[in-house]
Amino acid sequence: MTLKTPRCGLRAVLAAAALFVPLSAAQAGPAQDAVIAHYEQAAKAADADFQGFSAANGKAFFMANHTGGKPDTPSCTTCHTSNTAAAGQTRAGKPIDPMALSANPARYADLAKVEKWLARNCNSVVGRDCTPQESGDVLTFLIAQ
Amino acid sequence: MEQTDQNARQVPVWDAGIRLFHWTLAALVFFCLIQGFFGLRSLFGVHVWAGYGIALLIGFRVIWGVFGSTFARFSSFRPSLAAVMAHLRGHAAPAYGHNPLGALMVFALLLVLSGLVATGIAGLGGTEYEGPLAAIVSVDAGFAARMLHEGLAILLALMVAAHVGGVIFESRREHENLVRAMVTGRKRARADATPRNAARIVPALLAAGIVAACVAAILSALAALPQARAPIAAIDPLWAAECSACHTAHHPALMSAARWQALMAALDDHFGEDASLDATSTEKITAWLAANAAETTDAKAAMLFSEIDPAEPLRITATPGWKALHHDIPDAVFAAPPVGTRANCALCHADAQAGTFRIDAIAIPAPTKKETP
Repeated sequence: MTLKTPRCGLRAVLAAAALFVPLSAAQAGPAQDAVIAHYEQAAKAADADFQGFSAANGKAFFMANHTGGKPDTPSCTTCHTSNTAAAGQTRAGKPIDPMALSANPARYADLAKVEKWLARNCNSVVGRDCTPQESGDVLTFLIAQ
Repeated sequence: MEQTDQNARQVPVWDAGIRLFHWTLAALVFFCLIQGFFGLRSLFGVHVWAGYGIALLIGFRVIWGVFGSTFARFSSFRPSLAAVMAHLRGHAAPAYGHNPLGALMVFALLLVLSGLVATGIAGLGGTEYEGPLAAIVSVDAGFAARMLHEGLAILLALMVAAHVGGVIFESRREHENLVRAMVTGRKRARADATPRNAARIVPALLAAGIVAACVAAILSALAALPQARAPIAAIDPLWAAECSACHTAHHPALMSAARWQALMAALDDHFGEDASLDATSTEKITAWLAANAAETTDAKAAMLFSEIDPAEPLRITATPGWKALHHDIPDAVFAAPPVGTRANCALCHADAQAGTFRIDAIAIPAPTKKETP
């Protein structure tokens, strides 16, 4: 809640700025920026040639069917659906709030939560931890949505 | 049926108390039989209140059997084998009040209805944690009471049929509409007419007051007992938040501590998904689940799901008890939205998270056509 007031002010500035800059930057607040910064740091540490995150690569990763994970969850879209602005559903029937930041402004503000779900879901879908590059790409894609 | 002679003198037989008792009882019994045999779950609460109503009516009838007017009094229709035999041979004159067979039926109905009230209240207390016996009837005894209740209900339905058949038969034999007599309270006067003595209202009210005071004292004593049988109602917020992110937060009473511990130790492969938690949360939730697990409570679900499927010991929906309880629900209901999966307990059981799984908290939605992606 303490973040709310400064973020609203910032969002107004960003909304005005959105008229001039690519839409991708319009929604993210400092909390999301901090999450991205964390993965940027990790990506740089893992790869000296790190070239930045790519929303296009993130989208491809999110939409793809993977092998190596658990058989019931071949893709992120198994539960989240391919429409990031729409609600998904867990295999046990619970609704999942939309993944697109524009549809769900509370997303990607808590690094611990992001790490928890990426750790679980990467293991379920691809059968291993996602690399910082993959994580950052997917987050960049979803934050831009 | 022959029309009654318009000139025949009509005399009062059934007093207002008996008539009101009879038709109220008939209505309540009719409702309870229909609700019960057709399994109208949404009307379960009404069934319970109708049952309490029947208990009141039995109390009234017993008091009225002592202090009511002549034909209401038990002493006016004492069961007698000789009278029944004479009646069956057709030797006896038509009775003013209850005929000898009808008298037997009155006592039999009162007995069976008392049994239904007793087993109903015991079942309600044992398996629904509700009513005066909630604190003292175990879930095992509650289920046994429900079995008896069902058996007695079948017996009651047969007795009602025999009663209605007997009334029709006697109406024809006596050329007198006995159903109408129970409405108007009057029957055709006969030469051997017994005059009706009035009810003794003051002693009846006194008796009712004494009985009511005793019942109230028993009820308040029962209500003062610790209600410790129901599954724990205080929900651990960490458990609710973490587990219900993906599914109904399954109540700790659903499994034994050993099964919960095994389940929590393997969250990285949780029914085909990785549901890993940090060590601190895992430890806290495991401790809470174990402390409130099946063996710590006399909960219905704990008893029903205690037998496990050795192939899938951690899957509640694989237990023989779960399967038996859900066998009549079509696969389509589980497979299609809004349910989607057998693990979605809370969609049909509004009280799933509380672990009570009461009959009247069940609402099964119709399956909607699954959207093709």
